[in-house]
Amino acid sequence: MNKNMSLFSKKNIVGTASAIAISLAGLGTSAYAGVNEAKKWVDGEFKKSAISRDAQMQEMKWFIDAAKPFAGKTYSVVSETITTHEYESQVLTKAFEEITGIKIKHDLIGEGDVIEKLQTQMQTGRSIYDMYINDSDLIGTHYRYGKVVSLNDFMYGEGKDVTSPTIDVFDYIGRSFTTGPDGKLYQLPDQQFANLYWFRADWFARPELKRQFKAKYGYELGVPVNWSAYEDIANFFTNDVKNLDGKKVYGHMDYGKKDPSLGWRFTDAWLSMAGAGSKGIPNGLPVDEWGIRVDNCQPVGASVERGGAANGPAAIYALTKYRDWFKYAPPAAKGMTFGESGPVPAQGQIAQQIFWYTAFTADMLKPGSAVVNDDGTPKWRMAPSPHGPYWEKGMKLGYQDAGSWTMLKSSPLEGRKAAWLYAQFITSKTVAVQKFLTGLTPIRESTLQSKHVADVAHKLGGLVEFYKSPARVSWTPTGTNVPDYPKLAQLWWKNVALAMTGEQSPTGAMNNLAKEMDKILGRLERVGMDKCSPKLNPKRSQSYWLNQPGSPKPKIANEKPQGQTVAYNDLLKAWQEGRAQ
Amino acid sequence: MEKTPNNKAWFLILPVFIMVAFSAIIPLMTVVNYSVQDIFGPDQRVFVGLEWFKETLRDSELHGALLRQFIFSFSVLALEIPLGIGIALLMPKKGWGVSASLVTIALPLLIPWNVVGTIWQIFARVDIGLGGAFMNAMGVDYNYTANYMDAWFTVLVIDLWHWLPLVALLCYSGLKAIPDAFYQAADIDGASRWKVFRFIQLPKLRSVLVIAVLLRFMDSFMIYTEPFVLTGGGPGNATTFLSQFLAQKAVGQFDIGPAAAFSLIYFLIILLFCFIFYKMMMTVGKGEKK
Repeated sequence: MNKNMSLFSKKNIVGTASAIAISLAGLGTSAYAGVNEAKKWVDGEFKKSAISRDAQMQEMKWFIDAAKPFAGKTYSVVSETITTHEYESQVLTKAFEEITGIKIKHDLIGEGDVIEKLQTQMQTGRSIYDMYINDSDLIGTHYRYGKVVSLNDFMYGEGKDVTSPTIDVFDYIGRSFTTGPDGKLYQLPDQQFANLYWFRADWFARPELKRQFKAKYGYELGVPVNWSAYEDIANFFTNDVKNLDGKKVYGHMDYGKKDPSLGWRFTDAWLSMAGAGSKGIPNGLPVDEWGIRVDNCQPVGASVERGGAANGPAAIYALTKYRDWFKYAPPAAKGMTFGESGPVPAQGQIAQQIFWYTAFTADMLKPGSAVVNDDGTPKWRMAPSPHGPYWEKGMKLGYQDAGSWTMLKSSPLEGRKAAWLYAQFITSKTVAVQKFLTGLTPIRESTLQSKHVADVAHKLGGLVEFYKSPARVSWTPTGTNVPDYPKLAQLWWKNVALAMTGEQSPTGAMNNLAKEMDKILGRLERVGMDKCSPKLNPKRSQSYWLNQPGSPKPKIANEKPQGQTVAYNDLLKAWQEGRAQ
Repeated sequence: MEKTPNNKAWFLILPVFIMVAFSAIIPLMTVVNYSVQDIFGPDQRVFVGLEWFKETLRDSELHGALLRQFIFSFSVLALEIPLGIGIALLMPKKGWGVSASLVTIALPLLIPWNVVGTIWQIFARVDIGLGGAFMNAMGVDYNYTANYMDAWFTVLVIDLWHWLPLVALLCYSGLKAIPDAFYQAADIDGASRWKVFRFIQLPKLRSVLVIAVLLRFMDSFMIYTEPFVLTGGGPGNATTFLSQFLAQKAVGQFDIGPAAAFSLIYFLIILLFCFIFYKMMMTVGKGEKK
């Protein structure tokens, strides 16, 4: 373990926290401006918390003291626009200002725009924001370019005076996503969501539909374990059931507009769900879900010819299924983006969705929605994602990401310190439970274990059960194999879009993608990176690599084995027992 | 009397030269500088010479986008110029109808590009859009998100809806500028409606039409927002034009070197056509004098 990380041992944190608590108690409360404001917020908005009121007040008192050098000044941070960040921008900035005197301008922009700003600051070296909240998918980029401050170094170095003794890094459930190959923390999780299977539990429970399905396919209608079952169920609802309660229904939902978000659909997890990568958590080693192979930490190629899997049989199979399954989706799905397609299941015509982001949970629970019962409980459930025929136990099964605080070296130190205080405040144990209840994007283990969360779990369709389960580690974000996320991610959507229309076959599209990825890796090798720079393998025949053990995997004869389903309650049990499925 | 040359007069154009240098020449030189490098960051760049230019010129995606761009721009001209003239001829020449028709016709011109794209994106959707649903109800298997021809048809209709009013208004102003004496003479000669159009109105509209052609060609050649919002350039590459190709490289991928080389090639293409149209305009002017 890294030296700095060892300082974050639980023992140390408890010790430091106690020392700070004692010293704070000695100083007395009246010495602090903002104490009354803190009381107001703790007794009001932050009443529901994983820690006691006293512990909350102690935490707030530390913030008041640490913020003094920055009081009265304004700093700016930026994030994408989702419910959690809206809450931060509108409510938590107000709480932070009242308590600490620091004004934070928390800008909300599109996710792509956040990356654009971050990339601009990285490329120009000129500060745009004091800190950014961006997805942990960029961990490989941040680590290699050397433009991002290691939070370990910051917390024990120049930011020591503004690092809360109660931060409790080990309580963040997504910290492994934001840790570089050197074991250092590069980002602090702020909100977290997963990508799961979503289905209408009420329809799946209808006896007449269960009978009809079993008669046709020979197995029970239930949560699909593999893609064969998913496809059978999709076909069943779209072409056999057709209408339910007077409404046209569809057995599948997805999105296919030529748009950057089409790339996320693939790079998040699709190839790993099909089984294209290697075994290993979080991302598969040596080949990850992007199909990029690494040797130690150096990317050596994405094409099968260089040992990667981006154009291997499993990847081609994954793209083919994505394209073909649109016949089970509403006709408009092909023209939708990620944002447009997300709310569609809530309209009540979709029976299941293989690739559904839990970030949409709050939208799916709105009273009066077609997918919510009169008592506020959901008609739907979320379950583990089914896997393709190339998938093996021990592989990543889905996507989970943590929108995380990122500090660039090019931002001024004062701004970084003030923004770091805000970052800790809005992820603190004092605030985290209420933030979860608002945006349903958990980041702390203590939040998940709190009574307040247990009280609402039955209304969240399996979200809490998923996050409480140790099985959640099978859902991971883009990992450290990807050396330049912005450049490489852009290659996916334009190639996938060509396969959608038949302008390219899935094989042609993936071959082109792999070639383009290799080219970017080659350019990064030429220009050189700070750490773990790519070093392309020499080209060899596909058969050489396909005959090696592991990924890239050779084509299997039967890509549509017998469909398999399980009852939802059995899956919940599996989660409780710490199994992925 | 012989004029004395005064070179000090050159100082008078110095402010203009400085302004142009800051607004055009310096940025252009920056782009030239980028175009010969592979840039990943301020400290991560290598000189690559003409590599990006050679690659761009060989790029089949660029060739496809360029071809689509020409087809689109010429289709726009082929539709908007005759229709613009037709509408202008039908518009009332006096009375309250003049103001009413001018305001009504000009309305689409007031709507921003991205709003135009969004309006049509929803209007043409087959599930919730009035236009898309109507087409389907009429038995037409219309879906602009999946079918090449439907996507092209929709982008062209959007451009017509948005910019045809400009052509119509230009033509209308050209028609209004024709002195009544011409019509009176035609009336005395007993000229038919067609002959009035062919031998009086069309020749008199020539200068206005050259401006309309120039504006619409240049605008349509740079089209970006409407297809970006409507189709994202799809389905496949069906509505991917040059600007989208460039934006994806420059803004999406942050691939500054190749994007700079592409920008320069794009700039040269536009410059070439500006020159051709400028020459055409000059020729038309001379023809009128004769």
